[in-house]
Amino acid sequence: MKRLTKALLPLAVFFCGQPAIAYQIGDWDLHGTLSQGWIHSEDNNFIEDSTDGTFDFREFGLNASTSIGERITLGGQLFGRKYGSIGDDKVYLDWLSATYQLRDEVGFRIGKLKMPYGLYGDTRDVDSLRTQILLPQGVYAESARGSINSMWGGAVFGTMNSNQWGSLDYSLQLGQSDVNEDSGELDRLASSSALKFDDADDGAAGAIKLLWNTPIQGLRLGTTLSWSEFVLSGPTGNFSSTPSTFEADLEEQYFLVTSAEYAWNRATLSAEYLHSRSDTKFVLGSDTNSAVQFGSDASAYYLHADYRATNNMTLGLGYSSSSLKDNTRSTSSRTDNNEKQNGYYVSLRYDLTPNIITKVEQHFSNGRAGLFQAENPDGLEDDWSMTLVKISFVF
Amino acid sequence: MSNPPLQGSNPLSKGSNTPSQGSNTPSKRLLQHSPTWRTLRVAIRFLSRFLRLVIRPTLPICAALILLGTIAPTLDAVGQQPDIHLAMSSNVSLLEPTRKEIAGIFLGQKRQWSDGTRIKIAILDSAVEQRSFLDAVVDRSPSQYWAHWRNIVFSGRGIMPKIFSSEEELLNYLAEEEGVIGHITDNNLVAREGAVTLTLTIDGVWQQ
Repeated sequence: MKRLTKALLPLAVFFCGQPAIAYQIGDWDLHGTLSQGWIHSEDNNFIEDSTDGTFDFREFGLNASTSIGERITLGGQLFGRKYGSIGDDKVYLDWLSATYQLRDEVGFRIGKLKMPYGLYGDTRDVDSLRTQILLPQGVYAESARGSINSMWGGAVFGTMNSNQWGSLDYSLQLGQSDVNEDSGELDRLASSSALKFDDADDGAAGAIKLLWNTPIQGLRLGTTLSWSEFVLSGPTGNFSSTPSTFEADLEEQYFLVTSAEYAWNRATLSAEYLHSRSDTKFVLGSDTNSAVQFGSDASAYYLHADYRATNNMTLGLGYSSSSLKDNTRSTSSRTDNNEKQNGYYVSLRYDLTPNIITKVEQHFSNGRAGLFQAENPDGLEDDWSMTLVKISFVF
Repeated sequence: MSNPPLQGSNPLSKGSNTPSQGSNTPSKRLLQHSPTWRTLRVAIRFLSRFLRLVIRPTLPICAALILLGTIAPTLDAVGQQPDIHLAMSSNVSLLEPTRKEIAGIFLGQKRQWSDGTRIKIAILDSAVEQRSFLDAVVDRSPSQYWAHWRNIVFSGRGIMPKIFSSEEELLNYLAEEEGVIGHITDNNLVAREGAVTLTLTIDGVWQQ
């Protein structure tokens, strides 16, 4: 942490003296973000050591973009984060793309692309863009963020404008999934099973996004569907009596999010509903006859209200609910493992300057979905709460 | 969101606990037992319980107040709206634009002019000017407007408008580049640059 602070502090001080909106080097526009948070949870560890209060909650990114001629845009973004045991401040390529804009209605983009996910999925990295510190966890679970963050491939996108019907933003992208096996996210997901993921082979991935800016001013309705396939493998550890290897083939994993947002005067109301499904074939060693099929369905929704009390201060209030249902097809390994979580949260955002944003947030939750047994060795409580504080710098 | 099926669906998962990492380092132990840390923890526990006991039952009331607050007059003082002028490069053809069209341009929803030239947005770097201009044109505060553009930029979907510290600089840029549309405060300045201007009338219509 000390080394990171030493490295980033001069950068932050340097950019603080620059114009509030962007910094330019030649024809390139530079933008960046740096945020540091603190989480304290009661009764359950939300992330590693959070019952003791932890500062292992930060994000930083640097973004560069330029245009060539009238139709081509190039850009990329480096990003890093520390979220409990995830990320470890390692910098990775978040996205890198070349865009050709033929007309407003049609454009093409290739490279490593952010995956559309609900209204806020493709900008969840940047804390300063929202009122809350944590996006509602039922729909935007931090524990599975990496598998739906970005993909390599191509996209066709555009905006259809109509005087009568508003406008429709669309995008369709296809390519290959990009799972980062070094982020610690997969190890955390597997921590309760004693398995260890050594390798991830990427498979097909894609996403569709439709966002209708309706003729009613401030009302947006949308839907995103994203899917990906990948194969995870590694040693079984003490998962089986004899040491061996395993292969978990995520044959199908999709996320369907339906969204609505209404901005009216100083208030913004939003609601989203998620339905997701994953089907996995799990093979121990090389014996394909031992294959076990796992399946799970999840659904979640949230309601959120923002109120901008002054130009600097915004209040947020929300309710989030989620449930995970294990549909394991093999009766021999079926477990009664329905998991649920719901809760309220209240957020306060105060912009010290256009570049420096502070936030405080309180959560009151019931349920264990999204929590990890390995991080809670003394067991999980049903009722728990959490306080978060965060400061962000963006330019 | 569905976690990969190994989370929770494995019969061996219950009871197999991985010790949490990093919680027993000497520096952390020292920190956790220091008087400051203990005081902070007690304060946070107190605050957390207070929030749980007091705020939770009043959440529905807070929600109602937030909704009611949108109807009440805004807390920020609203001054008299100055005239709003736009200047455009000479190649731009925009005869009788609607308010919606102009808003679409400044929000990045429309990216090209009818001749295929890229739309280049120019905005003055003055909080006062930005506030009145953005309020009249896109119905957003400067912080909302730049948050909107950061959404676009950080997800790789576009490039931010250019910011100019003076109208002189903005007009020079407008004279050098094609496809520029920018906010100015004095349309008399534009005459010497041979650019086109639009003014938002009191009836809410853009006129040349």
